[in-house]
Formats: sequence, structure tokens, C-alpha cells
Amino acid sequence: MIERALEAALKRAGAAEVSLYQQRNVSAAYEDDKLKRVDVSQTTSLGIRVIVDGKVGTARTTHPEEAEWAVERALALAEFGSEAKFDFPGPADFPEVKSYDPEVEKTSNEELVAAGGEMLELLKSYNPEIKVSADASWSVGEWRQINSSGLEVRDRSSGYGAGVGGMLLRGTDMLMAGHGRYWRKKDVKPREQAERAIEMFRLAERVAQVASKTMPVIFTPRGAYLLLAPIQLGIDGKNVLKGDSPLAGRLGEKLCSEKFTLIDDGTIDYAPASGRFDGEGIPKRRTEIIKNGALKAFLYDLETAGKAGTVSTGHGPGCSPSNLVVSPGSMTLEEMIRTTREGLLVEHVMGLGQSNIMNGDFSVNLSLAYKIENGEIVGRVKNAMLAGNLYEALKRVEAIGSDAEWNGSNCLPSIKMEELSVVAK
Amino acid sequence: MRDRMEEALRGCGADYAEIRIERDETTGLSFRGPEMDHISSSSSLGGVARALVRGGWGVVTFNDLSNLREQVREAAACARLVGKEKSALAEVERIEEVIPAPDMERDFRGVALSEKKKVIQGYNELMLGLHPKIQTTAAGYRDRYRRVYFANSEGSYFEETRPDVTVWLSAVAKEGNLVQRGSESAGRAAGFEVAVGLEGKAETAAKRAAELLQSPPVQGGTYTVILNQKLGGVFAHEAFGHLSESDFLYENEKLRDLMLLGKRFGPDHLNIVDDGSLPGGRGTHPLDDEGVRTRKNYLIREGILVGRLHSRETAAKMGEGVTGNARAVSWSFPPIVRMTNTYIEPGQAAFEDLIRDVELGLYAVDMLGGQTMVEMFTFSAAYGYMIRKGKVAELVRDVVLTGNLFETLRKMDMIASDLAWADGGGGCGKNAQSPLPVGLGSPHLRIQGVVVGGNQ
Repeated sequence: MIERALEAALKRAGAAEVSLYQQRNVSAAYEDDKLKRVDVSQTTSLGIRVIVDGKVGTARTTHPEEAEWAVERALALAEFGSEAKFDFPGPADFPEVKSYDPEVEKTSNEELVAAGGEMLELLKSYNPEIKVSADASWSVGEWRQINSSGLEVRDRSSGYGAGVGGMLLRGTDMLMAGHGRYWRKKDVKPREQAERAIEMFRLAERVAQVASKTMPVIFTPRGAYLLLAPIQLGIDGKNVLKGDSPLAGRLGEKLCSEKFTLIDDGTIDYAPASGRFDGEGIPKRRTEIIKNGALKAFLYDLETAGKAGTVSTGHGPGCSPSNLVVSPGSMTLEEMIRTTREGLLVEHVMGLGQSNIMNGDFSVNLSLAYKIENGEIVGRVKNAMLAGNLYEALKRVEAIGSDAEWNGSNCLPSIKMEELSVVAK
Repeated sequence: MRDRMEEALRGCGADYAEIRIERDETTGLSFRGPEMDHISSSSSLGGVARALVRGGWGVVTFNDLSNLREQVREAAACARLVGKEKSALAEVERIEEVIPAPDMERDFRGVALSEKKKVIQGYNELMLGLHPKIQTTAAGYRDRYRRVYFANSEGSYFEETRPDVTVWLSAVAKEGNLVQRGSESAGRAAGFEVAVGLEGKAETAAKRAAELLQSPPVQGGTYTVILNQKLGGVFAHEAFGHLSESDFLYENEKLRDLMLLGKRFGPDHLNIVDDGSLPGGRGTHPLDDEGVRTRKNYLIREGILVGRLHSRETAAKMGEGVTGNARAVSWSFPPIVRMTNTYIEPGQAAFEDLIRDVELGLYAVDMLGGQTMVEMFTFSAAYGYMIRKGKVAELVRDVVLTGNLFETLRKMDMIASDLAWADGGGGCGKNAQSPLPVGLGSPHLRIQGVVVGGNQ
């Protein structure tokens, strides 16, 4: 069927690409201490991309039998499309990357319900006053792509996730915390997610005061995603090409502390953003982005690489990262805390993306953070914000933790900053 | 379609079941800098079957429409695994309705791609040429023609046609490492006319980006803050509105106590409303996605909490009336409790009255975005002006406001008479369902003692 679509497109297009993605996803969701829903979703998406007279047109449909419509549409759009300074890739040596676990789709609905129930019970047994939400899910997807350069790829992937969170209300004081994990292999332990969530609640049992001033700030592996947000935008090849990225033209430059090394790696077995090839048929790979503080690479897809006069790095379409990994250091989180006289431990922030994040500026609410006094966590910090510039902060990294942990498709350790500005009420 | 849907629902063995099928055609194009960045079309046809058994839901979403009966059967099987109590849904009138598309002066499906491109290109070039410091731009257009077919096991049926056009215009100015952005947008359930005549917005976006480059960041601290109408609307929606969504409350006794009807939430002059029936609103529909008629719902009246937003299930479980607020963003989701057009009613004061006696304050204008975590909120103004000795003074950037909703509502000491609606093309996100078109309205508001983020 996708062969027919390619054939139809090539009657008028110089080059074309057809992809077909089919996915089945099942989840069980608990809300407010109760099992609420079991959801099943089965979706299909057929994508066409054509190059006609050097210009690109794309169209998409949920119905493969409407492929003809999509082909016509893509051809019509190409007349107005952006200039194509690339050709579709031919067959290549793809790396061996595991992204499918046959055990995943054997999961019964009852099993998902039980996994959610286990997490719920654990949180309730720690504190019955916490209102608990939990979910467990699995998915399998099949991806096929062919193009006019002779590429023909096919891949299967799976995913299994479990997460639990809770809300604790005391007067008008509300505390929310939770933990979850998603992996392409069925080795996510519901119990571990609940234990991590309980630990967060435990540390937050007391409330501590904080005054507005600069102080050392430690980000947990969960909280450290704040630090990656501006970099993700900054290394996006399209932002670089358009000159929007503050990193444009600065390859090789020392950007931050020597302690900081960031790698994009799409080839880690079973990691959430791993695969043998990207959505354009380019092999996925391991790319050093920042090495010992020096900027090494940007991420490109076919279209952007063509315009920038370089080659795709396997991040298409869209120039977005695969798995981002910050190389761990040698200090444990406990040691970081013990060596802090007065500071914060940040678990979760909110309001990201509202300041000028591309520039590295941030001004975020501390939705879950703890105060450290004389080397010990003394309680949760409320009504305070963290403000500053990430690129400035990364020049003053005090320590990188030895405790790297996966959170979505990021694998991050704890990171301690020499100082950041805390704005308190 | 109707016959097939009703046939599939017959004898499904659930306490309640429904099917919603949607056909959606979208065309979008965008410029980034001087070049065309992206142009694409998509067509989707899909459905969601939802079944309720002993209080538990089973939800199946699908693209394959060849066997609707099987989709309903699977939803009912999922629901049986979940249900352990008694199903409760508020009683509603049986609906049988075909809702036509709102008026389109020019149906965008008949507008040539070349014209769509030309209009957006025009705005883009206007922004690029306005100021030498404009580094790049983003200008985009999207139209969407969505047909919805709904049937449930109680014999209700409706069809609705929902067109939507949005345009976004954004200019980025740069000097050294400093990057500033000015953004404007337009969006409505209407025809191509929405996208025409936006030259003023394009100019405003580019001019503001250039001006912000020259302006200092706001000094962090606690200020008397005046919110302009757009930002006031965001505040009403984000900080308060989400707490009125009953799916968040109905199983949580403590939250129900916190949001107890009859409790004082603000001063006497404070009235907050959600109204899905408001003519021409961005969040307006005659019926919600459970087939419940939309209406004007007071949430806060004269400072007292008097109402909240419901689906049929939350209304039944809380023993309150339906409000018509169950909405879904597309066929791939079941309806959940959402806002429609949320606004703060106008008061008596003029804008000058709000700033006259402010020695040092901040006038926060327009929005970049907002987010809440229960009672805590953070929201970002696109820009602001300091208020000095009762006068609007210099432009400032990086204005991020944060605080506790309950305290903030109590400290809202003045409300102006100048209600206005945000004409942006953005939308609301909740539980992965985004962007849902919503209306945001407010007059100018004055709030005492707001924490403003920034460098100390």
C-alpha cells in the first residue's frame, strides 16, 4: 500500500518519501484513590513528503486508503513549499539498537490495574491522607518508511510505563509529589516508583523558611531538567540556522564549567528515544554536544542540514534531541547536601517556558524544593522562585553527582550550582 | 453515520455508552525569517467510544471505523474491569440536533493556497522590515475544519461543524546575547476573514521586540500590580478557573472543603463567570461533548464562591446541576471538565483610578503563558511598565508574577470597567488535551503585594 503511494507521488514528484506508523496503547488510570479508567487506543498515521521542482510539500492522513488524497495534497502544497536542499537518504548501515521487548504486549489489562493498585496502596500505607493518582501503561508501535532513493526500513518498538503521584492538603497548604518511569523494556518496577514518591513526601513533611538571597542550589536528577531546557533549544539546528540560538557560531567555544559534559545518544538499548534510525531514515548515533564545557555539535535533520550546508545528525524530522545524557561526576547527592551550609535542593519547578528560555533566562516557581541548613534537609520551601541565567549558572557548577537517573528520555545526575538567586515572599 | 453509531450502541451491556466520531481537515503554513518554513495538510478520521459500567469508564480510541460495535464492546469490557460502585450521570434532556458551522464571511476551504501564503508572507515581510534590530520572525497560519458526530445510548444525537482559523505573528530582536520577542495572534471559529487585515498586529509585534531590547529587566520584589485585560483573563482562567473544574474536586473531601460553595473568595466587587453560550466567544459551543447545553455559570458572585464546572458525572456525584463543560480536544480523547469563555465582570473604576495613588508599582501587560499547581500560580507578562508616582513610566521586560491564589484574590482591591477579550489564537492544555480553544476576558485589575520574579 505504501509502495503504491510512493509510485503515485513519483509520477509528478522528483523525489518522495512515504511513512506509515501504527500504534496500540493500553493504560489503566487511578485518580483520587480510585481506579477510574482503562483506555485502549489504536492509531494509524500515513505521511507523505514530496520534492517537486526543488520544493517540499507534506501531507498526513489517518487512513491509508486515503493515501491518494494525501499524495495529491502534498504535490499541490509543494508549489508553495520551502526550498529542498537535500535528497532522501538511501539504505545505510544502521546500528543495532534494541527498542522492542515482546513481553510488553503480553501485558493483560488486569496486570496494569494491579500495577497501579500496588503503587496506590504503598502511598496510602505511608500516609492515608494523601490523595493518590497512579497509572500503568504499555504500547507497541510499528514504523515503515520507503523513499525514492531506495530506502526501505521497518522497525517495531515497545514501551512500558508506571507512575504514581499524590496530593497532600493541610489547610490551604498543598503538596504534590510523584515519580514515574517509562522504558521500552518491561522492567519498570511499580514498587520503586511508589518508594521514590514516598521519599519526596517524607522530606517535605516539615516546612522551612527561606529569605531572598543568592545561595548554592542542588538540582536532583528530576529537577535538573530545568538546566537542559535552554540548551535543547540552543542546539536545535534550525534555531542555529536562523540565528535565534545564542549558541549560533560558537562551536568549539568554552561554554560552561569543565565538569559539564552532555551527550545526545539515540543508540542506548531500550531508552525512550532510542532507535536504529530517525524519522527520515538516517542512522541514529551518539553525539557529543558539550564536552568538558566546550560546545561540540548542533542537531540537524535533512531539511535544515541542507540549508545549513551540513549533514543530518539523525535528529529528523525537527532537529530535536533523542536521549540526552549528562555524564555523571563523583560526588554523591548526600555529600553535596552535607557540604552545603545554607542552600536549596530542587526537585521540581514550574513556569518554565514563560521567561526567555532560549536566552537561558529563567524565573520559575519552586513547586517542590527543600531547604538545606548546616548540611541537612530541614523541610520544604514554599512560595519562592528561582531566577537567573542558565548559561551564567553553568559556568559555576560546583559538583556533578554520581547518581545519574533516567527521567523520560533524559539521563541526568544531581547537579550543584555555586549560587543562584532565590526570590522569597 | 447516525444509523451505524446507534446500531453499535444497542445492547452493549454498559450502564451508559457513547461514540464520538470526528473528521478533521487542517492546512497550515509558516514562515521563519524570510523563508517559507513549513507547509502541510492533514486529514484525520477517528472516533472514541466510551462506556460506563458500575461507575468505571472504559475508553477506546480508533481510526478504524469498519467495526464500531467491536470498539464499543471493547470499551464496555474495559469498563467492567474498572467498575466497583454505582454509575452516576446527571439527567439531561435528550438532544437531536444538527449544528451548522458559524458564519464564515469567506470559507477558507475555497481560498487558494497562493492567497493564504501571500497574506502571511505580507505580515512576515512587514515585521522583518520594521526595525534593523529584528533578527528573525515567525509567522504562521492554520485553518481547521472539524465535523463532529455524537450518539449515546440514551438516544441523543448531534452533529456539529467547527471551523477554526488562527494566525500567529512573532518577531525576535537581538543585540549581542540578548534576545527579545514580541508576539501577537488572532484566532476565531470563523472563516478566512480572521487572517486578513492584521498588519497592525504585525507592526506591534516587531516594534515591541525592538523596544524590549532597550528596556531593563524588572527589579524583583513585591509590588502593587495592575494587570491589563489579557493578563487578567489569563489569571481568571489559570489561577482560579482550573480549581473550579469539578473533576479535580469531586473525589477529594479536603479540596471540596477548600472550594466550599458560599465561602468568601474575594471582595464584594469580584464576579467571575464561565459562559460557553456567549455569542462569538472562542470557547463557545451550543452543546458540550456530552451533548449538554452550554450556559452562563457564575463561579464567584459578589466575592462569594457560588458555582463550579461540571461533566454529567461530576454533577451527579456532587449533587449539583450540569453546566455544559465536558469538552474534548479531538477524537483521540474522551471529554473532561474544561472551561469555555471565562471572564471577570467589569467594575466601576477607570484605568486612571487604578494607578493614581500608586507610588511604585508595575503595570503588567499581555501574556506569554501561565501555569498553576493547585493554589500556587506563575504567570508571565509579555512586558510591563513601571508605575511611578501615579503615572505609567518606563518599559520593563522579564515580568513573571507568582503567588497564592486565595491571597491574591483577597488583595484584588480595584476592578476597572473596561472588560475586553483576548483575541489570541492560543488554547488551554489539560491532561495532554491541548490546545482547546477558550475565551479569556477581564477588565484592568489592581492587586496589592504581588511577588515579581527577577534579579534582586
